[in-house]
Amino acid sequence: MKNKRRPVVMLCAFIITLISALFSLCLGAARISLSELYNALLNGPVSSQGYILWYVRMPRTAACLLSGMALSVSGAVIQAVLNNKLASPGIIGVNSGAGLAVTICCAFGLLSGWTVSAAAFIGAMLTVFLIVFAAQKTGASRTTVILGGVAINSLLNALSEALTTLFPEIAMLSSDFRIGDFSSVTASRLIPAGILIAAALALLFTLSNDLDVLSLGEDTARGLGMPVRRMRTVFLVLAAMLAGASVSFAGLLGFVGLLVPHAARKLIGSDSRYLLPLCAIGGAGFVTLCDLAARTLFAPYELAVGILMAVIGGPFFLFVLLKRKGGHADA
Amino acid sequence: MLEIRNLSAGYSSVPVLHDISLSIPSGKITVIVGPNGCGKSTLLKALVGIIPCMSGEVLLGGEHLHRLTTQEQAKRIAYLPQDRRIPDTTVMRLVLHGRFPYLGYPRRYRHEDVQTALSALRRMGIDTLAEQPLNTLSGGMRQKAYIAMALAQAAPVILMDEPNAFLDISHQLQLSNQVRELAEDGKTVILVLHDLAMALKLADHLVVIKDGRVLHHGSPDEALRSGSLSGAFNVKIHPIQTPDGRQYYFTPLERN
Repeated sequence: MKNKRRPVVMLCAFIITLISALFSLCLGAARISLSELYNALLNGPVSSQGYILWYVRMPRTAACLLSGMALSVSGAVIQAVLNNKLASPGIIGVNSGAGLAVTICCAFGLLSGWTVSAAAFIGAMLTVFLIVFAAQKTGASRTTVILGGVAINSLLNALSEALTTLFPEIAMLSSDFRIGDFSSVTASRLIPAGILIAAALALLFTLSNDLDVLSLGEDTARGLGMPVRRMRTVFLVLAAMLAGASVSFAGLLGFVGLLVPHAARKLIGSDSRYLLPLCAIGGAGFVTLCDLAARTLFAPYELAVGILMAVIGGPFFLFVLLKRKGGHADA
Repeated sequence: MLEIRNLSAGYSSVPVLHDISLSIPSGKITVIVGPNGCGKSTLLKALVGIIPCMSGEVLLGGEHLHRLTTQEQAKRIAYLPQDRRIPDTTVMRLVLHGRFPYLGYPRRYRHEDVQTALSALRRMGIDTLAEQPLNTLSGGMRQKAYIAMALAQAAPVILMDEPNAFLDISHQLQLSNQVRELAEDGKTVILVLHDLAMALKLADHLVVIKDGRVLHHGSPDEALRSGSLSGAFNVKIHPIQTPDGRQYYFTPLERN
């Protein structure tokens, strides 16, 4: 029955995301009507509305779409590879690793888009390998991996915090970066991250059968001829690429990588051929909607999107935990 | 013919298997038995390459198995581990994954893969369940889906680690028949079994392992006669003739 639902769910997710993106372009302190939007898109940044659209709204909307896609797909992949549906780049500390790397970059004044993206990617990857290495070394259970990730998460956050105190001139790392925010997104930072995200997504979409075979369990996958360790590494590198790229411009946006894959799986099942695209589309729409709500609901105050997300995500995480206790085979 | 020569293997440099040498006949059922922790599952894992071999070699039809890529190995040996997940997927998708070793680029299953998977489903009599989610099936049906997956793999050798675990008696008997049919089709089937009575009835070739060493290999009758079987398990084995063939029951060895 989940199979038959797929096209409908995909289409709905796509339409919702499209509409969210349109609203995200039009709504804000200065409203832009659809006809003005059309003109400004055609004529470029000539009018004041065109200027707002091209230099403020478009980078911001693109950032929402990109980070939503990246974090959701990264979460889905990490959950499949670790065989743990409580895992996500935010929870096991991958985002924090990327965040620490970005903080170090800023502390040394390395602020170009490519440097920050690359650093975030490396930070995310090192964290992933630290967790996987620790898990394999100790033969840790699935819960231990999560707990280890949580420990690493707080350690990395503390290091970032200490750096920000020691280098007060790190202007960009305001509290907004800690919680995740799109208000300071620029195209120069977005483009390198966007390229990384596009490349990782393209590769992941072609490897969906591999990801499904890996989810059958290490021994079965090996029996089917998969070089399990190598493929696991490939998937984790790609997931780190996605999370790192997102952190480089959006900060430490939590919960997206947990919430969206969960909802998507509930709707259409775990078949990666459909799950990954749905996570990409749905994640993009979800983050755009949250950002839209965060900056319009309490206008003229603008909430950091991460705050709103934590308000939704915290209870959701609890809900998932409580449901697991019911002993569901798939949870 | 699968030739295992002087194989030693184990976990993180502690050998579990010591100097195993066996020739496993093609198109026959070989059953590996032994007390808990003797290394029988480890032997299967070492054959598949999940556990690296410390020394020795494995030859299949004259080829060095472990010099092949994992993909090429999987075209020759199918493996059903003891610990099988219940993935959130349909029967058809699971069986289709049996074609994984044949995936090229782009990494999509082709029409002939679907055909092979379908005929494996029919072979196991579960083609009507193709679109069912695996987690709605009974343990026996899921077992059949996994065997269909191994069939779709089209490997001449099939390894199964305790395929009858958690099956009710009717499904256990069905499993025996299916394994027998696979061998009649020319597959080399290697099973690890806990159930000694089933092992004695099913095996063409019985391998008794204790403490990581081969105690005996040959026909079940030889294993009975030599006393290695009762020695390995510390039991007395009583064959009884019944209208349905020979059956076995076991009593503990009396201590002096």
